[in-house]
Amino acid sequence: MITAESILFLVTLAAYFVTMLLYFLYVGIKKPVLSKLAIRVQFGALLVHTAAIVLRGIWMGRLPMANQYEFSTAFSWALALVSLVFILKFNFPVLGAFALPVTLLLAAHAGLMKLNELRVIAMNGADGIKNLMPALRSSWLGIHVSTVIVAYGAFGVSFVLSIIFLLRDRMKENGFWDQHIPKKEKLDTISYRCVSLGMMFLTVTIGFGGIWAENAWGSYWTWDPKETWALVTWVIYLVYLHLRIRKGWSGRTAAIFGVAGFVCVLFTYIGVNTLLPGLHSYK
Amino acid sequence: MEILKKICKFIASMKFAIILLIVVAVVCMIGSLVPQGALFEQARDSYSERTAAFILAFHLDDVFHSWWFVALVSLLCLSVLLCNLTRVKALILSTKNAANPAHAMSETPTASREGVADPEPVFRRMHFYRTVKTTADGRDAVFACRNRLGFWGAWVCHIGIVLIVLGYALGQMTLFSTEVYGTPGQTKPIEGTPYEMTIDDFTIERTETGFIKQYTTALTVTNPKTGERQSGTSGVNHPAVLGGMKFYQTASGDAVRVTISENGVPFESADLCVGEELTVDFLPGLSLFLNGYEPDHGGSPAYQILFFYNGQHMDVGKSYFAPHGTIDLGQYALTLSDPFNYTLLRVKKDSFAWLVLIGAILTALGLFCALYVVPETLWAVRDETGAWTVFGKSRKLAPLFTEQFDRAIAGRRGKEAAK
Repeated sequence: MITAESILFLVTLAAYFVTMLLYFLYVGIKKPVLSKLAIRVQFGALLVHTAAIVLRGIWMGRLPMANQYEFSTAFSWALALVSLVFILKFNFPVLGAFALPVTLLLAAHAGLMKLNELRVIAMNGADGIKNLMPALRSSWLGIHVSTVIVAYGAFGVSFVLSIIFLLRDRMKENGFWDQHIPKKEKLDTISYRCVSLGMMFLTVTIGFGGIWAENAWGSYWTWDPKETWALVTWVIYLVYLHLRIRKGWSGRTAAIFGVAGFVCVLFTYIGVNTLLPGLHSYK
Repeated sequence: MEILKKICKFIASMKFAIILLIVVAVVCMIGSLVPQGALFEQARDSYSERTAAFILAFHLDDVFHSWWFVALVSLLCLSVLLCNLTRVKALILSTKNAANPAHAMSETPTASREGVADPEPVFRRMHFYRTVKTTADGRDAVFACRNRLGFWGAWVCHIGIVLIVLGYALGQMTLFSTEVYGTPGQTKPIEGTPYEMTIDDFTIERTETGFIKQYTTALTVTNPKTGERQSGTSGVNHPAVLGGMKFYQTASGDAVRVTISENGVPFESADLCVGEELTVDFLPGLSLFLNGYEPDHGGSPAYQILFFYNGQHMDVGKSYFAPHGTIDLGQYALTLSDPFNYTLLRVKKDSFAWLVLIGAILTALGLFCALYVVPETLWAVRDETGAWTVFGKSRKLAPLFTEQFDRAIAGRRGKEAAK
């Protein structure tokens, strides 16, 4: 089953790469048919990715959300899903040209983790990966991790939108861009929708995490690096939401905070796990 | 007085709150990068003298408990509370005005369309179902509003955040926390309480391949003075609540039973956990310290036992002893059993956790209302020709509202409702 899952994951990587190329071609050649094709391939890639995750869950006999590979692959899956939803909802295929590279990078990060995992399995077998430590054997794992995956996916799309917002200033007046990239006001609004979704889910994640930590460790808040950086991320996006209300600080300043917020997300996810060991350092 | 008002106004301002939020975020980043508490002492050598002095001077080694961080968070709470206080009147007014057709229809609309034959389908398509027939400047008008709760979202969220901080602070101030460890059969006092805890049983559940699934301690809590007695089980993720305290299954380790015999006749035995010291009564001044258990020490299992006499380490020529081995002390002998496990439980009472939970629920609900319950109004006024002009106003998300408005005017199948 590990082979089937690995093959599906490789197909996913390849499909995301092809999707990204198609979006690039669409932006370069400016042929609408390419965007339609890219959307279809992205949909297909998502289906294969979903199958890989489901297959892993069956193989593991548990929710596949407990180690860095599993979280990484779920993160890239969420980003691909949320970006596809926003592309379709707002008829905005150019978003794919910016979202897919980030998705692919995250999936590649998952790929590196996968390689490491395959090495461990070859040496020690899969028991150590399949079996979770007692603290992780809780129904809170699925709830806590799935909410954070949605939050991170939404923040990822908001990051991409903030980049597009900041780039739009530098783009020359051009029929294609004007037609295919929403006006700044709308970009800002879509980004706000993404941050809203992310904030809602991140708030719930922190809340559920607190309840779980209280049951598992006897304390709902311990200033563990992961908790602290989740709080930092929450605060940055809180500032973003406030900036949008205040005239003069919305738009560009808010977009900069949108980018800073996602940098915090990445640090919370990758940096904390690798640089700042704590209670959340599950490898 | 004027200056005080100005200060209050500045503290209640969003600008001030945003600056404080950014400062809190930066301090949190620093707090996560600098090792905290005892960890800083361990890592102190990796810092230069000047950096270490700077860290200590600003309490960056325990930043989350430093007076200035507490002051910073308190100031943020004050800012949020003042902001909420000053906004109450305006919010009540906004909530009332949004439902008042005369007032709402006098506001600048986000979107409008003239020459609509029948406004009713537009209201339906925009999901405004509760309409009010009214008049505007003597003309027939239809009015509807929704999501007025959204006005209060941020306000409720702010209250939630303050409750979280307050509950956390009060909880930390009144927190009772201790640890009790032992082996099955042992009864230990719970320090700082009138209770004592008996470990009835301790089990480690494993998978077929030997991985640990769960640690479970069966325990009884007794108050010797009142005779009050409660029993329960505590496992990882499943704390026991006994005597108003929570018992968390926190750790486990190796232990050994030491049987003491005199001239070959056993007369006493005691359980010794790793990291624990056993004072030997029959030889005053002598104590044994179980430093560890190694399942594979040179091919066979062994306990590492250190001997102390009057607090001084005593070299007895050997520090590793096999299970069932005997330590000869003249007419006395100590026999070691097979290893078994002790359990360690964290005992805690946080009287204000409920306040934090309420705060968290309010924060989430408030945030949901602030982000997703957007106050919107829709109204239509009939002109002299009998055609209607439809207006819409959204407090947020104007571009998306306008698109939805245009779609509703055009009709679901693109059929123009407008003349």
